[in-house]
Amino acid sequence: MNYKEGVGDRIAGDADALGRRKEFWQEIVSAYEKEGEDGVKSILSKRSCSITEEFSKLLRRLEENL
Amino acid sequence: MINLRRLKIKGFRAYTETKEFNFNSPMVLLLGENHRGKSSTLNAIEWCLFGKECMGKGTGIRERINWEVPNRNMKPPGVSVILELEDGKKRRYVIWRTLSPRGRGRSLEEKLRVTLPEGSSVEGEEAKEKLTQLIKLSFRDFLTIVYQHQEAIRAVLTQEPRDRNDAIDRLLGLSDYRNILTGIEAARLEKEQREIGASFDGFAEKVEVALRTQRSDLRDRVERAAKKGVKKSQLNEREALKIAKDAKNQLLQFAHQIGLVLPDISPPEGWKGLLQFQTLLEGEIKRFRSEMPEVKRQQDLFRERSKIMELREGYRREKERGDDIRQRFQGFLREKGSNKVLDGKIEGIIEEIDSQEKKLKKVNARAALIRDAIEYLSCGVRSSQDRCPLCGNAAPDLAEHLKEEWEKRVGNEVHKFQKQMEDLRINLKELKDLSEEYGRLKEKLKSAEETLKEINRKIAQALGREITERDDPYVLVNKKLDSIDKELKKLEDAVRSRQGILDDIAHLLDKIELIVDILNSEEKKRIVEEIQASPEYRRMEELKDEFAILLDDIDKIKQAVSEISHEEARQKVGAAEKVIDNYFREIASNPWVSNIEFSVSVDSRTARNHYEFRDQHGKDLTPILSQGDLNAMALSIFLGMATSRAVKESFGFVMLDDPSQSLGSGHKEKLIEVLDEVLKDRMVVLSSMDKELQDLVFSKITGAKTKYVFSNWTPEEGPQVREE
Repeated sequence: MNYKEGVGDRIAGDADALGRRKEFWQEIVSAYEKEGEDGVKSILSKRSCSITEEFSKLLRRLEENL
Repeated sequence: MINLRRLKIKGFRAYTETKEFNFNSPMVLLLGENHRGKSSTLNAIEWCLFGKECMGKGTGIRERINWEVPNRNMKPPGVSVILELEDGKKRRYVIWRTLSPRGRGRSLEEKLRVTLPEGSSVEGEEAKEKLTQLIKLSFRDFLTIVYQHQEAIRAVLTQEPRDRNDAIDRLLGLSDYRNILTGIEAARLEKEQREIGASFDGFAEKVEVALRTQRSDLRDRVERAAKKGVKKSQLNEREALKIAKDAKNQLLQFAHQIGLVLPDISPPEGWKGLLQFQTLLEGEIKRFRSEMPEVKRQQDLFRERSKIMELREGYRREKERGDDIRQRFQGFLREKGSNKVLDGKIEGIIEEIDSQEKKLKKVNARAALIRDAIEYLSCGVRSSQDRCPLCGNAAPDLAEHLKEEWEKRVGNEVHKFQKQMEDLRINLKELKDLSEEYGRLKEKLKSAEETLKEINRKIAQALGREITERDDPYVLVNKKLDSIDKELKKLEDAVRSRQGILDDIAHLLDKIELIVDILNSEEKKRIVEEIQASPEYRRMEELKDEFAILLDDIDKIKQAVSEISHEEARQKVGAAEKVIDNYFREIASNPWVSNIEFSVSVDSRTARNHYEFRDQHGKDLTPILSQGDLNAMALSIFLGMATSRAVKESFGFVMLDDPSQSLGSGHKEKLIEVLDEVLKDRMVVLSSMDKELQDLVFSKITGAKTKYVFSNWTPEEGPQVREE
């Protein structure tokens, strides 16, 4: 068993979370295999950015209205 | 087990021309100075086996980032590495990996071909599959148990525990786990989560504060409005607009009553225009207050009253002054007489002074004669001094006698005249002063009478009637003031009544302002409530939760990575521990260390593997290990992993690239002894620039050796290699 499968099998969580986490792990692995550590950082940053950017946009809009 | 048999290299990294290597001896040596192409030879083997897998960031080897495979001096560019392998059943496989120009372009295309033992060849994906089946190991495993890379030893030599743990992970083939954990940490998502959390909490708090403020404002304003008589039922837009309309109509009616014009100011359609409307109407009220006819008349009367009072005061003052002067004048006449009397007296005194002066002159003439005689007697011959010059009779001390006589008679007379004249002159001066005072009093009296006359004229003008000698202006003025006061009183009542109407209208406008303030507060409160209930606000909350979920997912993944990495490390360390211990003790030969316990734990802070080397007493060895010991440790781990029965045994050879970097002579000798042991199971391909190690190889290694000497390297021809 290689490291991808090993980690994939070990990831914990309920049914919903497990599927999501395993999928996420696959994304991390393929980013790592393409670009190493930077790839991992990049995929995580991309995920967080999609949240933070939307959050910041909403916050700006609501602060203007307040 | 797979063994090396033959290697042909062309155009790969340091290589230009084709070079061939045979691996027929248990030990193959690649000897030569730095930059002669030794490492390129070992790299060619791994590239041929793993292709792109051994390049780039994913390898975890720093020098593999931007690693250039084709030699730059090859014209046309092209790479060809052919590796002949033999399995345990002596079957030969030939691996061909090439890079050749794609069409007419400058890019190179990688191709893989595997020639199978029976002579057939497969290419592309099929070749890749065959190769994977043959070698069984991943590139990472290859680095752990076949190819001891220089960088792995350099990393173990570091004094930084984290870097050393990293290096040992790599030696154990666990660098992927560590690299992934490093990549996850580098994203610093916890910091972003804290920022998102703080931003959301900060905003939520701001919303709450705004809401509390607006509610409190609203409560205060409603209370204030109630105190000002605004009913609860009026606290809405419709009522506010109705009041505005009423106010305007009332002001219009008022303007009509007092004969003024109200500009066309229309009440607004909605409450937001009410404040502007209120301001305009307040301006008009202010104007009406000052411009209404009664007020104008009041102002005129006040001005007139003030002027008349001023004249009355002037009249009173001048009248008193005139009376005073007149009294003083009459007193003067009584006491000192008129000007005519005074002039007569003055004339008499002047005449008397003249008469006295004449008398004095006569006395003075006689006095001059006597003075001459005295002088004559005083200055003449001494004998004549005692004789009278007129009669010639003896007159002893005549001059002295005359002097005394003169003093007595003439002097007294002159003094008397002088005294009388002085008295007369004083008298004359007093009379003249009185005469002047008379003139002044008379002048003042005249001036006072003229001033009074002028005031009378002004009073007449102010009263609008003639004032004769028979009138008392003071009484007339007082009568006029009475009539003004009466009119003012009447006006005051009228103005009060008018201002009352305007006050009522202003009160309506105040109500409007209070209601508008309340409507404003309500709107602000509504906006804040809407923000709190908005989909955007809810979405922000969701995003905050999504971030927490993301972080939780990452945490669980990290946990899985850490656990698997630790389990694998523990399993590998456990399997190879004895061998590693033996090799280390053998190579390092440290007299203080009779036994090494190599263990792994999880660093709770970083979730990474943490390796410890303890001596027979359970004490940490790393603080006392020299660079040579650390190098020995790196080699022991590699060789331990490479030769351990517990790990996969797909390869029958190990490759060591310059293993003696920091080893002393003793360490090197011991390493050679260990390698001689390794040679019993594995072929050893050793690359070295170290002469001492080379000598030791030839004197201590019992197995047969093939020696390739890398004597020179030029960009055009590549390495000069000869087999010895």
